[in-house]
Amino acid sequence: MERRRLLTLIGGICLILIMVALPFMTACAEEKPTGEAETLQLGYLVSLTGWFAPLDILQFEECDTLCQIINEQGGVTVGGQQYYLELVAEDCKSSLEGVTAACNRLVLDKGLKLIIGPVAFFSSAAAPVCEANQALHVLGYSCRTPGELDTTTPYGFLSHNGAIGNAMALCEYLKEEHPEIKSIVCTSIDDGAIPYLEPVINEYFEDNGIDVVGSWIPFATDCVDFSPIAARIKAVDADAIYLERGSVEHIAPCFKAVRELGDKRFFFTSSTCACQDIITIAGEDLAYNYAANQPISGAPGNPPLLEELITRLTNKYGTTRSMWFQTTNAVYELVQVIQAAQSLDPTVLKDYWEKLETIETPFGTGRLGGLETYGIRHAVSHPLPVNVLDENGDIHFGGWYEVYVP
Amino acid sequence: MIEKQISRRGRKLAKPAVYGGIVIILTLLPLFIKSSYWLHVLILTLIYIIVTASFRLIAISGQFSLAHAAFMGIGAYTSAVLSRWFGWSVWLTIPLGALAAMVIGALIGYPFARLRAVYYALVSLFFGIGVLQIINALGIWTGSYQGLTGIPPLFGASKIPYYYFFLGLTSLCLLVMYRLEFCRIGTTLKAIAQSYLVAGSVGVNEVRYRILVLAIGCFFAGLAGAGYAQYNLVLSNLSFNFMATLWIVMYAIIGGLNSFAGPIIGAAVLIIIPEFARDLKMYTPYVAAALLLIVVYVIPQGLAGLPEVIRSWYIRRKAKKVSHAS
Amino acid sequence: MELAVATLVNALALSSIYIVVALGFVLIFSILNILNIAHGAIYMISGYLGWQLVMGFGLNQWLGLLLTVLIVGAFGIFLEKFCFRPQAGDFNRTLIVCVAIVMILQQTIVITVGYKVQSLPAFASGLLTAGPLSVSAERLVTFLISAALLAVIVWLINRTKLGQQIQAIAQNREGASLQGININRISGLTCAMGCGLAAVAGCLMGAYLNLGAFMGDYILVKALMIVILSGIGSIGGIFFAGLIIGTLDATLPVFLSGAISQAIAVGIIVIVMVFRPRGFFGREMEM
Repeated sequence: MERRRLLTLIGGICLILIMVALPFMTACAEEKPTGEAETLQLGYLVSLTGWFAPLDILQFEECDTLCQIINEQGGVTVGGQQYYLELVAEDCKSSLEGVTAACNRLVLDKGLKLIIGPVAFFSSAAAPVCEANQALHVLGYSCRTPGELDTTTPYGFLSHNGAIGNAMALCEYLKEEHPEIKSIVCTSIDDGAIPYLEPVINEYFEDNGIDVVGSWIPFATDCVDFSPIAARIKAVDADAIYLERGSVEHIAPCFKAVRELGDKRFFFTSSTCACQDIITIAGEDLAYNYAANQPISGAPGNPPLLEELITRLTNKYGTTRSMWFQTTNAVYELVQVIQAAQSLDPTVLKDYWEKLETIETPFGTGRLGGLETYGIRHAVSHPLPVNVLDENGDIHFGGWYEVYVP
Repeated sequence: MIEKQISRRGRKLAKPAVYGGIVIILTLLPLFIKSSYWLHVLILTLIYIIVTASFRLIAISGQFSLAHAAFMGIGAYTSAVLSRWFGWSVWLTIPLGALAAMVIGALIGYPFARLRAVYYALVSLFFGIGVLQIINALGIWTGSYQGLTGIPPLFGASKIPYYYFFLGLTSLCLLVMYRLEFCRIGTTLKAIAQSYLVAGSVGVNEVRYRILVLAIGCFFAGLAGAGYAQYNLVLSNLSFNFMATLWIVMYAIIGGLNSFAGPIIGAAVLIIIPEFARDLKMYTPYVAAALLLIVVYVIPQGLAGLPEVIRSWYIRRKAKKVSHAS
Repeated sequence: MELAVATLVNALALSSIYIVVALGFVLIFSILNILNIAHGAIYMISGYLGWQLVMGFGLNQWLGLLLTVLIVGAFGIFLEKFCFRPQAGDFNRTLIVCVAIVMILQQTIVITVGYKVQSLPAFASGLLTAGPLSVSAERLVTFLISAALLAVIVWLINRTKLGQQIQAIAQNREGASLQGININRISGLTCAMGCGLAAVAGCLMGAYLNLGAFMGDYILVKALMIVILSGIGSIGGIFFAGLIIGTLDATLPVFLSGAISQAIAVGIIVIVMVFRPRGFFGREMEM
């Protein structure tokens, strides 16, 4: 009997050794040849395990694609030395203390001073570690909660519009394409950011002549069945439905639930969910009258870099899918600042970035702002594309919209 | 005969020597470990050792409290909210956090005392979930999923003071729990776990002892949680959900529920070993799962039982040799 | 009015899926005496398996559903023989094995196909309208399939020899083996049935809502709630408890926020447990 146990133990150890060895072997095989060029390592906080992983890994791959494009074009040159970009990913385990641990690892253990921040609401956990060690961290998204991006984060920069900027872009879209919509009912994910976002976004909509009816309807982060939410939405008398923030796993089922109740109103969201995903989940009969900010291939006004990114990713996956490009923005803008300031020192980069007025992004020219909204002028506002499903369920491009978050 | 005497003396000295050695190594560790990240891992291990040991303390009395991480959360959030929103001193809020967890533990201990075994486990599971939802519903005060940020820290930026603080705290808590387990109270609890009927017939007030141990266990869990809050500086209720409790339970079971050193070994092994596999990135959960399966299949009584397994295997080998020889 | 009808249909559809999952869970619990924490993960992976069969290999939906059930049932037999039986009924060890299985399954899905937010093609599409009321055909079909399945299971347990053997083992394990019932074989079959039920629920839910790598966690909590409310040892109790939980889930969030409605549902469970630990219909378990 104990021999079998011994054999099982040996077998188990062999199994673990094999499993540990395989990734090492593949990692070794993928080493880039280093010639005269050195590697510039950027720390990247990503959730590789846990409930946030499916989304985060996608964004990581988008960012990786951008790094490949930059490296193909010769990488980054600082002080005469050529650098190839490398993203050093660290697992955040889909939790705030995972972010803290990962940030500790990157900043303290591996000594990386340039961190591409976590996306969504995990940003506030990276700030204390980065600030204490004067590491530059570039966020991909902001929900305006305390500690994410404010006066306590001088080394933090926001590369993407964030929740507020995206809402502004959709508002502009409504004003231009749907002037008949005068009132909206809002719903959003209940993760604690609503009290910080609701006043600002409501004010912006109302300043532009669109009334927000009632208070925002929150849905739980692990909400699976959206029919009660759809029922609440249906009970509100407004011209359109606005899902302010959520992941694809919330937006598509919510849309489906709303349509299944017979609600035909225009449904728009300032989060990202590709029209294709809506059609897949809701079915072709129910997919109409929808808009989201999402770039599509070949749309007029697409900057060439964005077009290249979309093409590569679509070829890789074989289908259109939702693309965020939030951390892609972060890396691209950081590279700009590095090349303009010709330095890799975080403090020098921070001082240089603060003084900029405009900066290039894959979405077009972005402007620095954020003093009023966040308390610190470290937020980049850039144009946003809008992707639309019209009444017949056909996908078409809604246009580019300028946004400025003051 | 002489061999037996020597070996007995050797065995007597062995245990204190081992413990003394461990204490010395742990105290001198920061001098050798320059990496702040590994200090962070060790600090987390120390915190979870307190939580796991307190879970085991409650489990001794036969109560499988599946709300343990939620009590850690109660301690953490109490301390964090008091120090962040009301500006109270951190040294005051940490004990207050522990007290809050203890009080709530005692309060629910009474109605839950009527349940046993599986039912107790299930009701505590749902209590844990419910507590988290209530914390979630408190909005800005607790930060919900976004997290509560801006919590005032215990010490400055360096991790070394934290390490010594938690080392001292863990040693103190373990000492108290050790004394509890091996004094009259501990024996009474074990009696209750074995057979509540017999214990009751000898005059043991089962309910009172169960509430007592639950309150004590929750005190330590709340203490660890409060310390964690003031160390991590960012709190989210995701750290205290059902999955977190499951992990604590696993640390205890893998370590071995039957020995005092079990939770310590279990927590240390299950936290530190996957950290070595961190470079595997997406494949780390497989390493942890493999570790769990190996221990469960090969050493069912837990890692603390490893010396036993090795000894019995060795003795059987010797016996086989003898029987082959004869 | 239409809101009420819609909520009613929703409650029915949701309840029926919860009941199917809870039934599988209870079958495994009453025969093997373990809490199968991996039940949610099995539910999740059968949804993805169904997707792969239908979308990847182009099979007919119903055929894909049937194949998924068969494959997951076989996996259930494997689970029982190699993962549950060696633990000799020890609650702690089975818990760890289940958690390890969950971790492996979840991470595999995340790494491989998790990025594709998918759902199975609907088993019935479109809306059925009768006047101002509109009901999703899919929800009705989900409810009908689940109801039919439940009726079959109840018939199986009450009227067939296999069902009687299952009941015998659930009531008294030693007594059943004394009567000559092959416990290992029946355990394996029951585990297969439980996993098969989870498979059906997974595919139905995958079409009704959408697939996600962590949807199993959510459904496991619901199954546990139903099992507690109904108590152990009664199949009919599961129906009632499932209807209660499903109705609560379908109606409470309409008026309250998500977190509070969850807290209320959990609070109800805790109160019921404290005052009536064996549930509404269960029998007292021997400790």
